Amino acid sequence: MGCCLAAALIISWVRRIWRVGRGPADEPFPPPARRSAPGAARPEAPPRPVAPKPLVAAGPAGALAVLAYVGTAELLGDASGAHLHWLARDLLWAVVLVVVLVAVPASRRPREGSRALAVAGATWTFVMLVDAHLLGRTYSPVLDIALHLLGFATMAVGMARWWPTLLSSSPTPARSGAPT
Amino acid sequence: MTSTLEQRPLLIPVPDGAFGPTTRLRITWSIGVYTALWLVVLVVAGAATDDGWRAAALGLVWPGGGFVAGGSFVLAAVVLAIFVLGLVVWWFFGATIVPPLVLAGTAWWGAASADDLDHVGLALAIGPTLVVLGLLVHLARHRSQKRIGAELNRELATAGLVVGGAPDLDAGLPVAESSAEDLARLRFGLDLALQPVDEFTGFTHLDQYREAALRYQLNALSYGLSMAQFTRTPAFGGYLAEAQRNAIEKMLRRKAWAYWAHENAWGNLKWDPEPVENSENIMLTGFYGLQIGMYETLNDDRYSQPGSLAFRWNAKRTYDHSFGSLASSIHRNMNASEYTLFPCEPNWIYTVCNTFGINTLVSHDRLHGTTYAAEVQPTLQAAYDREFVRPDGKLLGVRAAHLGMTWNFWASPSVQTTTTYWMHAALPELSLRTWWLLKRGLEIRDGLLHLPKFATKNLDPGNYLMLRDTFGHVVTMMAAREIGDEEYAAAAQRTLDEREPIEDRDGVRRMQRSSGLANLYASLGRFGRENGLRDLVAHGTPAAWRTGPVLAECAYPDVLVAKAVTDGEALDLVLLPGAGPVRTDLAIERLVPGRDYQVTGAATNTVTADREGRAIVTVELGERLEVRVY
Repeated sequence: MGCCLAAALIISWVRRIWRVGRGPADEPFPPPARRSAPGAARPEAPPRPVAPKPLVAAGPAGALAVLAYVGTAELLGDASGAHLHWLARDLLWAVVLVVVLVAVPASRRPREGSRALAVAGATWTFVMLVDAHLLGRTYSPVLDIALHLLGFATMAVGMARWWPTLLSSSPTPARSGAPT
Repeated sequence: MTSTLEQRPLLIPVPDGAFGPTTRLRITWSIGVYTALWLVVLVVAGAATDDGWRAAALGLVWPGGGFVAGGSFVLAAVVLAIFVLGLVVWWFFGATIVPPLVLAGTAWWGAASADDLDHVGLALAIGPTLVVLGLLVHLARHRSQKRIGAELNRELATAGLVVGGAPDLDAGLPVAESSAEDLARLRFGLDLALQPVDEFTGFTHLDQYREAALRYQLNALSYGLSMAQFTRTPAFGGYLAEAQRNAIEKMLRRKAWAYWAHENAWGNLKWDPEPVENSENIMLTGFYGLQIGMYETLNDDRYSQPGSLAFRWNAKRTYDHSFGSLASSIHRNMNASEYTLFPCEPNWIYTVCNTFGINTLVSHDRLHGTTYAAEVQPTLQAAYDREFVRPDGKLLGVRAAHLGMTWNFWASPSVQTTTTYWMHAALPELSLRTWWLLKRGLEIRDGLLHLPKFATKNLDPGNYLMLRDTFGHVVTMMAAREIGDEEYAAAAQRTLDEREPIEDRDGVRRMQRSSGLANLYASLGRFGRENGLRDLVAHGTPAAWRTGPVLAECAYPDVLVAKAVTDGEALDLVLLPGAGPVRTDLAIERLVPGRDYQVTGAATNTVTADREGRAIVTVELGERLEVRVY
């Protein structure tokens, strides 16, 4: 039974990870349907809300940003030394994440916990900046990327989810509900 | 109304050996292949001088074997965890290619890191040791389950379980009246289905591979609507039939069935999106076939016309099918499979999916005079008994077709309950016995149902969240009601009604904290009755229902139909307003052309059927209204 539980938990985790940055998995209700009485004209469907267009197409934006990151980081790293190399890498990696997230329509982003995510990411980034740039510690490439970029990634995700809330004061539409 | 066959004990089959015959062959084959590989690795490990090659070879007989040999036990554990994850991916998505790729990749990693292989013997020993241990555990567990089975059989011998016979269709079938609450829940399904066919608002959108996939929601939606029509309003087509048609046609949208192209690619290494003409995918053919069988039983045979189900892959490629080709595919695959049951995802045979397959065959045989179900039923029954029932009577949920292995623990009450429900039409003895076993773990306290403790009790398969045991109550309600154990069904329904927060939008109601899938299956349970599924699938409808007058059209949601039944001559309706008081028209069809009919409960006392046998009846609908046309 332990494996069964583990499998179910894995599904649950995968589901949560998969949904990050996407809209709610399901809307509670479908649009109200209407059908006319015999002989009556069929009612016109209410106009469907138009989904906000993404600012940038996610795929191309992500690919371009990755290319820019790799190219620029390598150039700067070679030409200007380790500190600038890391700074460029970190900043551009953050840009990649922000661009990809911004490309998702704002209305589809969940915002709960965004602030905590941004603050946690910023804190981690600060610690890693101290670690890498003041203390000058080095790790294996995989650990290096994981440690140094995790904070930026978390902060970027948090900010990208949070900023529409900061820009807009319109309240979230309330759900009708009558718990019994 | 249902005749009963003679009473006979429905005993748990006593197995001949530790494995069923087919499973024994598959497991022997698997162990043989592993042994051959192990011997090759033994030679390489002993003869090769290069540590990289030795580590790579060792990594093929045990995930992380190269690291074990090198004494890197932490990395060995990491590799093992990655491999287990690969197995989970294989199981979830049918991606057969993943475990071998992971094994090869990690073996290569082990080779690249090879250094001082001091523990080669240990690396070689782990695999065979675990295989032997696994077999010993299986044998011990098998013996214990056999002992339990023998004790249960002593009780079963006197339990008095009775398999019901066919209902007397000439005497009619029971038709109940829906309450306002029933109709509010039904409206959730109606609104889902009645949106334009290309739109899927209100459905759960997570993945298209596992239980939350759109196709399973569409299946459940359609089953619930069909069951509501069967047990409450058999003489009402209108928007209820249209909703079922929409659910059927939504299944043809590529987003609902394109998953198969991916699974076929990474599971069978074959690029062929054809969803029906293949040797697997009963999760589509079986579930969809039953959906159509139910619709055709209650409405019309449009989906039996050749090419009526067009799976359009792209502008150039369309796979034309019909109810007949779905049934014939299932029949062919059951005959070809050495287990008779055949896989859903590549390689993975699920017992519950195959109950949908046999239900499709039974429906098709009844409606079209084929003998598909009759031909496969005996071997299917034997396969369930020998290969998929544990010696203690529990049904196994899944088995790997190639390797023959199953996960013994994958026999939770949820597996038992859903299978009990869905096999009641075609394999009623197995269904009754499984329910009898299940019931021993259920408890009713203060009128509420308490489910037994099990690891996945709180899993809602419609959204993969482990928060509430709602789905367990839903499937228990379905199974108990179908078997005729109304005490347990009512307790399950009462538990849901009293405990679950309800969300209401303009008279449409759903359980707030449960997935759409759970809500849709709750509808199926709510509208079920004793032998409801069995009658709908195996026996069909009385002749009077197929020829008598019907309510063919009315406004939605203005007119909610709580009951609609015909005796072949008259039509009886019970209507409720769904959007406040209204004066509205009802279209009645299948009347005798030109004949005058008396009407009670309407604005006029008589109507005359036109040349098509159609008449319009006007009603003032302010509260519950009974209308009779005769």
